Amino acid sequence: MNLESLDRRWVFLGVAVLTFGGLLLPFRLPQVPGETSISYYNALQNLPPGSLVMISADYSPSTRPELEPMHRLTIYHALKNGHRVINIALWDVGVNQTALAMGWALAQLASEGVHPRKDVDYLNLGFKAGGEVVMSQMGSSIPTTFRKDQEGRYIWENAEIPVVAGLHDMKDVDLLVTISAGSPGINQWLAQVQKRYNVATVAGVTAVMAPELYTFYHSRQLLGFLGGLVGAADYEKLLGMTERGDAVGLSILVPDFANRAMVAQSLIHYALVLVIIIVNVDFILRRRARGGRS
Amino acid sequence: MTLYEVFLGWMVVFFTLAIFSFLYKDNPIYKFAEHVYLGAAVGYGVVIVYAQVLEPDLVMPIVDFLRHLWGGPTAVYGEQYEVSPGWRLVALALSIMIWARLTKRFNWWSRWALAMIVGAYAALRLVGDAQAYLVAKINATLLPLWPMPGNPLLDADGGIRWVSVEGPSLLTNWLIVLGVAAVLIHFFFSVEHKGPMKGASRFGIMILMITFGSSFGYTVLARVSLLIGRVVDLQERATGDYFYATYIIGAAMITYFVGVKLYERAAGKA
Amino acid sequence: MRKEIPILITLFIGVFMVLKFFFEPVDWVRISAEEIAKIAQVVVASSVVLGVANILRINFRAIVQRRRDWGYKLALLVTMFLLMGAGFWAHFYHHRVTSLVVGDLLFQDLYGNLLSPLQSTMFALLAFFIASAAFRAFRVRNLPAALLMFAAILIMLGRVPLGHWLSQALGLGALLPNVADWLMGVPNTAGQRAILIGVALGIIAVGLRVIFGIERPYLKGE
Repeated sequence: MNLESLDRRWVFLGVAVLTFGGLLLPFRLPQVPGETSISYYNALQNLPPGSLVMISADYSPSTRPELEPMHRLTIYHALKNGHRVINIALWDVGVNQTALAMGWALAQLASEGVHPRKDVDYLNLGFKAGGEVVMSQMGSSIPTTFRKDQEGRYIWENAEIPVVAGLHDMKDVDLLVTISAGSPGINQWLAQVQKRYNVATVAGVTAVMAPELYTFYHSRQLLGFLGGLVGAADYEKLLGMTERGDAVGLSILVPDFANRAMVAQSLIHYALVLVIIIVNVDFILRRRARGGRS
Repeated sequence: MTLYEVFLGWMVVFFTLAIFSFLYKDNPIYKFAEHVYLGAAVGYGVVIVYAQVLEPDLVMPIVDFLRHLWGGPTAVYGEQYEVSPGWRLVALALSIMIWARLTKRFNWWSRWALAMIVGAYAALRLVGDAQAYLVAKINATLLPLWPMPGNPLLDADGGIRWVSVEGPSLLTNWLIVLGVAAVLIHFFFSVEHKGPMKGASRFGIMILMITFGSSFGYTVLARVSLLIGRVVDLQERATGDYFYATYIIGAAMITYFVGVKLYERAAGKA
Repeated sequence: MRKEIPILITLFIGVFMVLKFFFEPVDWVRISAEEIAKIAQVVVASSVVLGVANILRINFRAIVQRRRDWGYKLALLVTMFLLMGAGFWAHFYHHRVTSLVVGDLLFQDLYGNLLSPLQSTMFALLAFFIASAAFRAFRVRNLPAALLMFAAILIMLGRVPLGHWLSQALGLGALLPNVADWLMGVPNTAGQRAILIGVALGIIAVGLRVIFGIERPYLKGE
């Protein structure tokens, strides 16, 4: 049999079977959080209570499994520690994605007896188009960037909405969190806001974007980041989520989704590495048989 | 579980499997789902852009201004953040210029608006990238390469930190400084790559290969995660709560593909 | 006229936005820059209207003339109007476009149960293709190819919890994850940093060329 000429649909079938099967396995793997994830957790954990955390939803459902767990856990973490959460979105779909994440976080907090109040503890400012232009404007004035909130209410200088009291520009934000899947996203935040206004910044990003962020982490422009589903699983572990939710069936909504998904994730990685090694052994043997270089 | 939620569950399963059917081959079910996706994405975008940008930043300020001219009340809160409506009229004019692209005759109007946007973005990116990428990255690469008292290459007890997984060490710092320099030399085509330049460029290639390999590993991680997300959604909807949506729709689709195959074979023989 | 004025606009806006960086504390500079940014946002948003108009024009014509695949195009338009209807209903009647509860707002439900699964699945397809690519692309032909392959393999092995578990089970401590961390933290950081420096130099050069009218992207198609 020649491996080179294998119909790729067999590879597809193998991946599908491994994923379906891996997710049905009834055990979980111990999660050991990486350094960047711990730094992300600490950046939020070490803020004094009442700090203003701005969370920007810069992703779409295309990367939902990786980023939604980080997004909702970040909201949960910030509200649980008594911070004020301002949600914004620079991707249009981020508006409704924020609602999903917010709904999850509030339900989770309610089950723990914590009841944050809208307008007092959190607010959704909604979406603005333009990426870098929006960020740059937020650097000099947030009220002129977001005249109203997502529901069309005037929120500035409004006694009924104290959550934004004292918020004028990005310098008033104690921690900027971007949940980011591309552009506009973390790279643009770093260029337009972080360095310029010296704003403490962390990011939850897709695994595709993570390798680039190591250099920003190394230069301390980024205080920490979560990379992909592994990063989400790390964060779940740090927040103690992996000790919960065993009773219910696996769904993207369970508190330890990422950690439980790691079994299937690991299986596919190892299977793929095995296949790459087999194909290469086959390649080297053929080259030997031909008695020279390919 | 309400009937409405079950219906939504069936919708999720149908469209998920419809897109996955592309893996077998391009087919009408996939094409249908693909067009529904495009329609949904555009329809969604229009609503959000209108509700969150055009209405608060363009329509309402102009309406408020007109209302004000007629002696009506102005906004209660936040009017101190309002600037003269003149700016909004400029925005309106430029928007109309963009829309003029739809006509043959006034097509060229759109260039004024585009020129403005291009100018703004070019300036923001130029300044932002210079500060956060160029200067910050060069700054971060100016690392100590010799262990001296007071620099991080020495431990608290004066021992040299040779290797480390995290944080600075002698090997790490040397590799980063030489690596960045070598890759930049590799990118730098104005000088012929020979002699020591060739060696440096070759080392740069090695560093780049490790970089790209790592990125590939991370890309696999990302893509597999997305697949897991979909499969979890399918498994969740395969239960009795959703009346076994995944099994029923899956079986129906497989029946359809087998049927088409058999029909084609029969038609081919006839 | 048709060419000179756009060049002047770009020059003026570009120079002004660069100067804003240096003169931000000056009130009128800051306010003008904010307004320019706001106008840019509105104009970017307005261009969505163009997209919709084009989609309507192309698909409507295809449906009326019963061209090939007109049924799909009908599905496209029907879905588009469904989302727009639900969305504008939510916006004008409920004064919001999001909801925290299922069954509360049709627009949010369509987002979560139609748009979201469709888009997620589109991207999930890539998992199959990247597996197939890994199967075909990685061969130890020479040293650079081997480095590429081994870096990818070590990341795939070390970045997942099974790597931790396996390392411990084999009595190697945290070897696999440490190797993966080191690859990301040292050679990858060096490579990415050099790429970023190169990209930044490119962006600065292109930015200057655009602002000074040497490159004119808005005159494309002349």
